[in-house]
Amino acid sequence: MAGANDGPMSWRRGLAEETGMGAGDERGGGAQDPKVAAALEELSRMEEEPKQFLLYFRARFREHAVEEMHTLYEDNFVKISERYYKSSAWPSAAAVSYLVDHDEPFLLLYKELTFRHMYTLYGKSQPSIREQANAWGNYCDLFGAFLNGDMVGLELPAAWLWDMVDEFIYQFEIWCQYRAALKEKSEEEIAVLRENDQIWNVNDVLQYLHALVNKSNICPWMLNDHQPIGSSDPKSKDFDLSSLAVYRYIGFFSIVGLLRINCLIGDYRLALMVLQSLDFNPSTSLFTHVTACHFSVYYFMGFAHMMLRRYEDAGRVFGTALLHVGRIKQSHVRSYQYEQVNKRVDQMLALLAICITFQPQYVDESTMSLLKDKFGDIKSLRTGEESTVMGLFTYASPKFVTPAPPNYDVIDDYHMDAANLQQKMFMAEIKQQLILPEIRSYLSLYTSIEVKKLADLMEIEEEMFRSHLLSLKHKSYSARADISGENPMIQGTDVKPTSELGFYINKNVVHVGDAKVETRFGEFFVKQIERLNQMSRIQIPRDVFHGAKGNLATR
Amino acid sequence: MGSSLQDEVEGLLQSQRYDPSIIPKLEEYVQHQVTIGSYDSDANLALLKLYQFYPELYNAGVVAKVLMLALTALPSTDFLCSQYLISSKFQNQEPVPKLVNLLELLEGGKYIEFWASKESYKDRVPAVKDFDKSIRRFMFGVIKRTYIAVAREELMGLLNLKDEELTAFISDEQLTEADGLIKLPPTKENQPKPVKVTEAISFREVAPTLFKVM
Repeated sequence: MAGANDGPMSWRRGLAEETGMGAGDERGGGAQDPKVAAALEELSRMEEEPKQFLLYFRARFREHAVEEMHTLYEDNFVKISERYYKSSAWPSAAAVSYLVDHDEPFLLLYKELTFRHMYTLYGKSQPSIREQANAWGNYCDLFGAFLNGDMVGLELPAAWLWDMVDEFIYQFEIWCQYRAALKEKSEEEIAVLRENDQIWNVNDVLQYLHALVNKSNICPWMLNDHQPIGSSDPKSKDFDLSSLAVYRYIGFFSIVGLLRINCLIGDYRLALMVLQSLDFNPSTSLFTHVTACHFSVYYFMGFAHMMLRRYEDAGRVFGTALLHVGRIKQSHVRSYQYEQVNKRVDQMLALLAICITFQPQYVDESTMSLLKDKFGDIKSLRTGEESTVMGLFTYASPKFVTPAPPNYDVIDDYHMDAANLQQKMFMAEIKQQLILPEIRSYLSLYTSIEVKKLADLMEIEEEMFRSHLLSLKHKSYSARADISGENPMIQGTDVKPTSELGFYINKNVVHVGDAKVETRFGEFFVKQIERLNQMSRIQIPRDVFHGAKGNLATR
Repeated sequence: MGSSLQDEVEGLLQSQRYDPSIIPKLEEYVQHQVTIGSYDSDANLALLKLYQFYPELYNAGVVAKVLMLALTALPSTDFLCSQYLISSKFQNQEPVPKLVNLLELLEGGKYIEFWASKESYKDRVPAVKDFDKSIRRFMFGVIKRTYIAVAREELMGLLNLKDEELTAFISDEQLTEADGLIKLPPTKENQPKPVKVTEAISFREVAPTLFKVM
């Protein structure tokens, strides 16, 4: 993997002391210790139900009851937070420490949960510097525990591991936004920011993700047909961490994290490069285990393609994901991640609308009708105003960040800089592109016409018109993934014509050869198979059937 | 000498991609590319990313060279990728806007205007070995796909070649010329045949569906 760094870095171990929430060092301290007294006092104020919940949760954690933990994590935790901690944070880890017998790994996870809960309390505003620093400290401890091998022998639900990595990047986003908006900060706050460059430092964030990918050995595991290469015995010399589900997941989700973070800072090429060893077979790949992860992969992958002007690849990626939505919609209505997934879906629809505007391409019927519901006639986008496209782009793009600290000496709000830059560049491309659909539609009216005549019809100078024709050829020629290759979603830098409209100039005459779209049999066959299936009343699991349809239709 | 620097940089990118201490080496490598006319987009993008992380180390002169090199890499999207990594503050500093302008002219098919602008920027943008040649290669690629036959004067203008230079170019590219009209070699796109769009479904994808029904 690009930029992999598995250098001899020593990872933090143990509970963060500077967070002032450390419980490790006070263990067994006398009741006279004011810290201990405060913790016990806090614990005594805790309601019975959350207490019982934590005790039960910890017991299941220690028994490695992953499925039950999944329910506790996804349902019960949310419900109890709603009931008891709707507007305040959960009790500190120092207090809970006395409840759970100072179980350090459990406390690390508890803190991860409660910090995440705390961030949600803020809504549109942001946690304080101190809170953000504490959350960062806990992530260092938590990921440090993974990297030091302390998580060997523990099991966690996949969804939780996904949320862990996802939240890590979300909190990094929040930090970057927070630190760049200087206007409303006090001198004191700015001084703290200036001195604490190490908190949520982009370099460390990347290092952690890369290290988790390397430590987990997930890439060799994927390349080895989803089998660990080394031994699954922790005592063995060639013990392979990818034999443990916890490590496989954290490593895999960190790859997706790298994809996302590279998109956020505008390095789209590297974003796609980190996906190189990923398996996109919907029946085997790990990303299908967590719905939110599944959509994240497709959303960011498609977005990176789009920003690299590979509209056809982007369209195919979004199309595949959107077809999948149709399939899972019923089963996921109640999921914790439902809202988040829904938002991603809407964003992907908007991006797909942009992509097919600039690169007319085949879209599955059901997706097309989704698009029509949402945006009306797609053709209106094509002739429409730039502002419409800009609106869609702003709505559908990720939260870009400036990875470096701002210039603290010049007080200003810099937090929109990254988003403005990406938007400005995208709109520059749109401006160049907007003229092209018009030329394309003029061209399609003729089989041959003099260049001069067509230029007059469009009311532009002939020389300018010739430039537009050259530009049209250049723009309709982009790198495109080789869909018959190993990794159809990302691979291939083959430059191929993407336009369905063929034309050429013979000295002063343009000749136009319209593309001939051959009948697509795939969809027809799928429909017939469906009919046959209904008639014979054979029960076919929904996902198997629609899975095949999804792939057919994207070709 | 050339290849050893390349190997060294490759090694650094493997092990210390985000380490600001490798910046001088990457900068040296850019200078090397400009001088001998080689090109390494991965190393150059890694350098721009380090500038993005450590803006205090930003070097406008080196960035200009990276962008000039990226122009020679058209039709690849290297220039675009580079631009995404340069923060807005630096995007507005010369000569970046000039170089962006050159890119827009090239991408917009405004070749004649491109040559004029390039000439007028001569002393304000860095020189890159074989720059014109690379740009002409890109232009001719697009022209070949657009035209089946082009007037001699027009091609001279588009490629910014003098009469005798064009004659040499025609013989280098093994083109044929008759009555002031230059015939271009057939490509997939400059032919009267319509493009066929076909469906490609592999058996592997259909098999499970069929199998389930049977």
